[in-house]
Amino acid sequence: MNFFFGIKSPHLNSKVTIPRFQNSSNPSKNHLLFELQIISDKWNISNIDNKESSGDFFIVNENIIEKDNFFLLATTDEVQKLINNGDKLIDLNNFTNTIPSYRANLQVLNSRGGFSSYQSEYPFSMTTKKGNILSPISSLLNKNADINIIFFKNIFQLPIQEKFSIFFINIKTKKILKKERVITNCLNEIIVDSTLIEPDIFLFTDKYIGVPIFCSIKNNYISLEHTHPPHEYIISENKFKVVSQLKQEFNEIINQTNC
Amino acid sequence: MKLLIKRIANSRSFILFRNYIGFRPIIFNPSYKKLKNVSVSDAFPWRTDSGYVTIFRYADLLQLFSKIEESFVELVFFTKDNRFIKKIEITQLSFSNEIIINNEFLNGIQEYGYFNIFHRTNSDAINKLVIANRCYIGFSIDGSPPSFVHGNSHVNFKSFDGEFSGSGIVLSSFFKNLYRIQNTFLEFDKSELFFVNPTPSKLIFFINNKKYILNRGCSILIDVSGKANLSIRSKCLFLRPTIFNYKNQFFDVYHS
Repeated sequence: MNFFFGIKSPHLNSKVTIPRFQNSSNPSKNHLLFELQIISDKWNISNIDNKESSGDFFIVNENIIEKDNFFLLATTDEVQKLINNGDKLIDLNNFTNTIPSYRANLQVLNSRGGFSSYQSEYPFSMTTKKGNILSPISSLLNKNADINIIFFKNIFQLPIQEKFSIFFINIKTKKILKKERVITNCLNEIIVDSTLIEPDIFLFTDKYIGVPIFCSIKNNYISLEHTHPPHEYIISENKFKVVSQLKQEFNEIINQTNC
Repeated sequence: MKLLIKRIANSRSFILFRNYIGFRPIIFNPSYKKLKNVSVSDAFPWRTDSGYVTIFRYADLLQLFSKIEESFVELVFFTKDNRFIKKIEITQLSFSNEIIINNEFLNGIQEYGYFNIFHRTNSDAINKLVIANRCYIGFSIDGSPPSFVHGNSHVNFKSFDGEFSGSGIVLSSFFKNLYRIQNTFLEFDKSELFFVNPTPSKLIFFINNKKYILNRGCSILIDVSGKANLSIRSKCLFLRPTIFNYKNQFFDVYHS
């Protein structure tokens, strides 16, 4: 199961287009679009008015998108499990577990007509894990842009909003150049100074994982794309060992600084 | 017993049978994951047509994962008709790197095609590593800021020492498969799909019943402007195009 999310930002508007069909079949009439949000320390799930649907797609417009909400496709029977127990997210169905991968579309746009998109899925399997995200900074940002933003979306299975940190670390000097406090179950927005957009600088999180989405805007043109976690660059069976060793180096840097 | 079942499930003949009947087909040939010290590459699209410049960004994975500093990358460029253009080796690598692909870089060619990146080293300090650099390709028109997209599929591989190479990672089935692009193109002035044949043989595919043929290593740009729904049928089990959408003076590139 995948969740979907939008971007709420003073710099951009966004809309999410979620197909009602799997990529090898006809639209499902049974799967509706639901919104999830934490209310009073519980997961609250509510049906989104189906008038928002357009043909074979659900359209989630900016008036529905918040930093702390996200969406899923499910039948009314399936969501009942979550309504009955809002203490933890559960894997409700496999409708969006397809090969090739199920694709929604998160489009950001500005008032001058600039636009860019990205696929927007957040796999359920990521919501059950804690850990670290490691990503290069300069691969998707641009030093000469008007503004560079990293949107960091975390969805964690428990309905908590807990603080954790995102570090900007120079891998060669082993120095922390910047630390941002962010929260779980939220879309966090980080403005990136151009001095941090260098080949040796990496983003690294403590405690929680998430999806880093890199946005660069210049002259109203927008580029929006996500990076992959390091283990997706390794195909051999030793991938988790190799990545674990690399992350250990970054953990040592942040632990030394915290001492 | 579990090991035996796993071995049978991953055997070439069993995969061929599953793909033949279309039962839970295997998209990527699992045997390439068992190779030793190999760099796998996507078929990354490049464009220098219609005012396009392509910006390619990639990480030095061997330095990042294995602390190998004496590594280099090999980039090989082909036209849309699979004509070889050039091969370059870049030896001065940072953790993150960039090259600009314009018509001067490609010997004056204003066209489109694909390229591969292979990480290379003669170091023997690496132990059974298979890497695939997903990289990021930015597209700029007439000097506009680039729109970036990451790589889309594993296509070719080469050993770190350059001794062997291969393709055939994306598998095919006996019957045609349907892949519905999960987006609509109604709101854009113009939309294009960029396909590279990821298979080692001739590829026949249909978009909404219109037939296209791509020979090995060939790529094609297809105008799909204004379409509400697009269905791709082919025997290839993983044929996902890169999408270019245009509206007024702005444009966006992403993978389907």
